[in-house]
Amino acid sequence: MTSATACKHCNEPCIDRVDFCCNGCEGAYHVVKGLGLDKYYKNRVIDENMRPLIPSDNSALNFDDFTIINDSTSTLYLMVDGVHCAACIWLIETVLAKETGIIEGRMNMSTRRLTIKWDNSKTDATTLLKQINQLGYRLMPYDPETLENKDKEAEKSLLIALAVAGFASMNIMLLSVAIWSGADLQPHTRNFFEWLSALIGLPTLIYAGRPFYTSAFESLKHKRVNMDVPISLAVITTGALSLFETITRYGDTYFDSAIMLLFFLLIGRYLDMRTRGKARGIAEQLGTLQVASATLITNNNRHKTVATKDLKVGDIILVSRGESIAADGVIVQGDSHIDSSMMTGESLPLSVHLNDTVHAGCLNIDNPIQVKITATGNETALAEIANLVEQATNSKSTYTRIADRAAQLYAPIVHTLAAATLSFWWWHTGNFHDALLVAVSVLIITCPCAIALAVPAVQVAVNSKLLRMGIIIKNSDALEKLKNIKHVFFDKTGTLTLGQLSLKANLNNHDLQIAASLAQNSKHPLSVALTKIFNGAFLSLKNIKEIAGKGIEAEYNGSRIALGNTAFCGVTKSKKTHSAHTWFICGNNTPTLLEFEDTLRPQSKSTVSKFDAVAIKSSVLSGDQNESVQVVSSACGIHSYYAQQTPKDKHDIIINEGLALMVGDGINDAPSLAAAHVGITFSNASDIARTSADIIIQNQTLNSVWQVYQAAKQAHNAIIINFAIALAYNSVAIPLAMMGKITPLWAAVFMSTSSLTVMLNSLRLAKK
Amino acid sequence: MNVLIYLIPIALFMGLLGLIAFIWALKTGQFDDAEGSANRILFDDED
Repeated sequence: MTSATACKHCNEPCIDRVDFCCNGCEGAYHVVKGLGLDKYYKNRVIDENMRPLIPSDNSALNFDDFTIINDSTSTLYLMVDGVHCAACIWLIETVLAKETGIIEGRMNMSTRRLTIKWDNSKTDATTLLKQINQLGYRLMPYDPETLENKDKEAEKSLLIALAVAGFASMNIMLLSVAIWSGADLQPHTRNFFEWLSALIGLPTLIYAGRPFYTSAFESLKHKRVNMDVPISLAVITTGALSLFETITRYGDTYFDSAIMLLFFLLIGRYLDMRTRGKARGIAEQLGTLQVASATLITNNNRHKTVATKDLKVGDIILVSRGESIAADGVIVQGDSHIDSSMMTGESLPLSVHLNDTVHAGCLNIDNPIQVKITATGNETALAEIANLVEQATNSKSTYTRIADRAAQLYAPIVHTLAAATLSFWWWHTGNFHDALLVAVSVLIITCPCAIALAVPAVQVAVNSKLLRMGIIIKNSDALEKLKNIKHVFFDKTGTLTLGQLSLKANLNNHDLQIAASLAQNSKHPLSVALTKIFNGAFLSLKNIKEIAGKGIEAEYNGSRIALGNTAFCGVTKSKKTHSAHTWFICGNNTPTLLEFEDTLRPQSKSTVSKFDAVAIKSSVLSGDQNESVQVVSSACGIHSYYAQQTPKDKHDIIINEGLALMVGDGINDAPSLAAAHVGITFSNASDIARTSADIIIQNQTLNSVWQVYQAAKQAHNAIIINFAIALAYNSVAIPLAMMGKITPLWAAVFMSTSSLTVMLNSLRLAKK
Repeated sequence: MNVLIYLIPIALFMGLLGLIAFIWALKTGQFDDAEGSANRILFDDED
């Protein structure tokens, strides 16, 4: 029988208490019951990987900076942390609906964002959100202007242009089929249809073509040619010429070709934009790591709660047990253990003493410490990580995509051919009008519909296949870049290893049962690991006492059992070890050393050997100690490793290397992930790592890194083949056009079949 | 021909209505939260 039950509110184990793990959770439970909403507990589905719903003190959180005021109503946008499932959405919305003064409180489940609108005279943000806070959800206000909104707006306007082009092309095609089918049309009927096509087509050409015209204009301003220049030129000349033909009733109109071209191209454009990773602002994300307030120790030794942004260098703050450190500083009083995974990637407690440096965002585990502040706000190491990531992300966006490189070659050739055609026919027939018709048909036929679809079609096919394998491509450029890498850098903890500890020593079953029964009463990482290893029934113990910084002890069958450091367990002969360890003593027996090691991620070794086989070098970059790094490196077959690296050190090595692939998971890997040629992380990694990386792996094996590399090479080959197909069509179509044999019907046929062939070739990739 | 003069514009107008409806839906954020819309039907409202 277990002596730990799960907390009714947050599902964490209850130690020393029944039903609830802390006062906060008990309070939250009563709030929910009081509002009559306890259906919530029946309906919800707990997500193990999420931070538990333990209420924390956010009283100093300031919403005023982000509140948008319109006369009598105010609006606020917030990110919500801790939402597990639909039941949480229901709970938050229902709780808000019961507040006086609220006009609208709506959660977006896909993005985990909350929008609230309220009446200024009846209530304010803090009152409204206090309830949500007390339930254990963490709230972070954001500015919708900066965060992702521009991307969303651009995507929406592209979709609208696509819808308009679709509507126009289908309707114009109806009319065109009538004209081409050779039906017995009277000239005035035919002209009527042509006028209708013009009426639909011209506004569409202007509206739906905007993305291309602006992009072409930008490119020309920089004296370069990109894919959109020939497209824009063809579309505009076709539209103008067709209008002229409609008015003078002379030749054929090409409205359908021009609009159809825009339609296909916009599809490709839209698909491409959807695969671009949407990045949350790094600054906002870091906000969720920092505490809003700290306890300042004033000159006359009193404690005062201040907002983090009001702290100054030289202030001394008190960091209690379980509290996050508000700013960078030096310990002036106390010894404790802190969780410095932000800086080193290790989640095992780091022992800190007088004069040791600690960083903002790190969690203080055992004892209260007093810290004298050396850096605040933008000067902290945490902020440095954010700056490095932003810089790296900005410099990355100057990559020239393969499609644009192709355009730089293609466009001049096409324009020369069109000009040559114009001159030849003008000279030959003396009729400028006829010559212009032929030249424009050359422009239309060479219009790179298939070429512009070549890359997006492959990307969509490959991305969906990879998604089924559990790999998310946030940024399609990354797939292009991946095939060029020369060197792979792996982080150690959480990347090459799972961050899950397993026991090295051999304990007999009886001892293991006793040790595990004791361990399950503690939340120390080593105790948690020990509890997980043991599968049987837990014993009930008496007098369980956990002493911070020393260990945990209890009484079993009349004798004392304990887990902890050497002094706590009465160890006389201490053994030297580099692994994470603790001592266990039962009664009067000799104390046993329990050593733990980190489990290697599945297929780490095989993945490394696969990269070795294609002459791509592997290295390990870690913030951990030399010995631990060496052990893991040799276990994976990696010969080159760098230990004790700070986040900046890792970042600098990556920048030096050039064509590097970085695989990492921690906050301390974020600058490297952003700076690397390609960055890969896992889905259970920190938020910041996921934002900085280009590719996210959901299944937890390292082999996925190799698989996505293979996919990148296949994608590249398919793109080259697509270009070849498009060029093949062009080489048939261009001579025909130059000879003046192309009519609108042929133009449409060529365009459609070449696009179709390119699509079919790309679909091949999605099958395997 | 006489029929076509008014039938085609009518058809175009109906198509245009569909287009406008789509653009309205997009602009007012109807497509923004697919998961939320799917789950909301399961909520029990207090009557």
